[in-house]
Amino acid sequence: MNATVVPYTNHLVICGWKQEMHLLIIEMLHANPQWSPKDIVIVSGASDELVKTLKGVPEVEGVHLIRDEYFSEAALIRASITTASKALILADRSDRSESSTETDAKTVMAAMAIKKLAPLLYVTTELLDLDFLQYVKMAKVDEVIYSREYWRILLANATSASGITHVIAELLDSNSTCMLTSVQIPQNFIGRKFSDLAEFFAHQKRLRMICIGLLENTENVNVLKRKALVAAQKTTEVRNVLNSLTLIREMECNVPKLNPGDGYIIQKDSMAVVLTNQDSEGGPQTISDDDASGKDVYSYE
Amino acid sequence: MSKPKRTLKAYLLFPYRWMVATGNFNVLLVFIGTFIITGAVVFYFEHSIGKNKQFQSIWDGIWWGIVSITTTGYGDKVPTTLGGRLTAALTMCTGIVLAGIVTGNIASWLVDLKLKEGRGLINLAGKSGHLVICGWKREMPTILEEILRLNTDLKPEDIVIIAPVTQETLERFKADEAFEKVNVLRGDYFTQTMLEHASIKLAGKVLIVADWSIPTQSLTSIDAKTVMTAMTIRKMAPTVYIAAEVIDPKLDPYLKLAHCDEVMHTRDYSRALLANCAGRTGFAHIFYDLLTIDTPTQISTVPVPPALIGKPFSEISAYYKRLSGSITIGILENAGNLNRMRQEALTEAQKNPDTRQVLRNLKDVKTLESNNPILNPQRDYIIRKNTLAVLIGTRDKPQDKPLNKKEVLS
Repeated sequence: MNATVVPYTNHLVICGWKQEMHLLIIEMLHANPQWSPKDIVIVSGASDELVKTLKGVPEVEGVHLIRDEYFSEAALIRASITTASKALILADRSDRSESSTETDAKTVMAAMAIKKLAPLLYVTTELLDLDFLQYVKMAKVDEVIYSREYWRILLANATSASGITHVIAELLDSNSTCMLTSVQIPQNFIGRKFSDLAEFFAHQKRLRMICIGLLENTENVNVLKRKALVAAQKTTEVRNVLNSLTLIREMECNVPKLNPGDGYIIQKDSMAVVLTNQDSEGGPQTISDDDASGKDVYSYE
Repeated sequence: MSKPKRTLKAYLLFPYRWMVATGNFNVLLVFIGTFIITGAVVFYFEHSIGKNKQFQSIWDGIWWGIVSITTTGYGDKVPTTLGGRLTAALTMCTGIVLAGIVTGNIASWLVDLKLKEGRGLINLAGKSGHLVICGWKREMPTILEEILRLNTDLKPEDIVIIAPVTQETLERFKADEAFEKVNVLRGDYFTQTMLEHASIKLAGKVLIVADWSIPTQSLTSIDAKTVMTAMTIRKMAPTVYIAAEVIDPKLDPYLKLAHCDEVMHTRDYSRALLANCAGRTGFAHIFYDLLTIDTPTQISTVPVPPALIGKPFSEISAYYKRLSGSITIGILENAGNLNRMRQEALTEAQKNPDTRQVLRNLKDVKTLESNNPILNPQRDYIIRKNTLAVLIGTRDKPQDKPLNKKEVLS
């Protein structure tokens, strides 16, 4: 572990602490083989006793740790938040005396601080209470995880004897050969039907893939705003520009459209949600435009 | 989940339940005896001595006795002789006392029942088709809300919770109108007596949750209780569907020994979800969309029609696309009751004349795993018996026949 400040780039910033943090990092590295421990920076004010659990675990050797409150701007600057590739804010329950409301409040503060420092950064937050959803939305967070909600739904699902919990466990298991992921859509599929895209993925020869839906509005809201403003400067139609700005303001990020129907038209800034079997080649992350021509060539992000 | 029957029979059996519960058979005998004796005496005086036309047979006497003792008093039959009137006076006094005894007894039984229900001391022996939840969670009300939302044919009274909760927790839980009718049995859910009280043998499904009702207990202790409960239930009810939640996956082998149908590691799932979300775009939203019933999309499992057993995966995929526009993402093998499947497989394995093959088959039977998911299999993967298709479809379109209890059990 490294406590000194170095200018990190393209790294993952994890804000907050979790019980058995080392297991979470190992699982992250397993699920995202493109990362190494050196690409992870943890910002946390967790106690020495908790931090000790990371020491002596060879798999997490090299992870950077900044001991400070994760919602403080100074700590985030030390974590080079402006040059990070992604930020993950955990629901930090390391302080047992803290209520879930306090934990969520800290998450919202951290999200606001990050979005102020790095407006284009992809931020994922974990919330305990859904009442705080409106606040993280106001902070323009890109992705929200309702972990408590998930397992509650899972328990409820188990009562319907459908075996769904085993399916979900398989989808989450980083050791499984099957992986659920979102991949870039070749540009020439924008404006075409969903069935065309599904067909394209189904006919890949090197990898077995099933396209199960789309993820819309994957572009950062702030980027879209900038684009709209640029467009505004070029046009005389003020009403249209105002309309598009209002739409962007109300727009929700990363909206899944699973099984949207064969005739559904693929929108701009969409990604494909695919189930891929990586038993031989490893999971695809992006697809180049050339692939749309029918060639099944994949490259890592 | 099958609907528990609440028929006229239940109401007709009310006096019987009261007598069995309170042991008041003698009160009934006194009642019946009094009807007959007073009926006979009045009949003698009125018919034989007074020649009263209202008392033509002994049944008129008994009818008069019932009407008088129960203090109903229609006045359709009136004794006119001295003997008949003296008997009537005696009958009325006895009636008041007897009716008081019976009414008081029933009222006290009902109050006692209510009190026991409030304290979680009820005995639900005889209940059937219900869901038994073993253990307690702080979020139990929200879990129940979700269960009731998902299983629309399930009512609060069809749920039985066994947990060592405090009286205060129970009262707070019952204070919510939505859960007033949920049956709660206070006590250790892994004991045979408590499970018998919950009528486990006739239950539709059992959910064992990692119990956090005792804050001082260790994680191993929580998991050990889950395993013990699963084993006890399996011994008592070999065909009931058991889903269990464990914290430490190391205890999985023990749950397999108990032939648990579904095992969940919710803590691990939370960690895995965070790990997956860290590197993939929109992963959390996709998952939420799949799981929650608030969105139009749903992930579901449906039984593969018998005609498609033995056919390749590509065929069932095309079948569901045609049927409901659903996307088949995989299959769930060995769905249903593992004990029955093992028995079937064993019979099948023994049919083979080749001893070596029989031994191999028997080994396969031993390693059978319940609800085994195979996602995105090869297109030519052959669909076996006891397989469910895993679909992603929309709620407004019928996927196929929903999975009912009979299908799960048979």
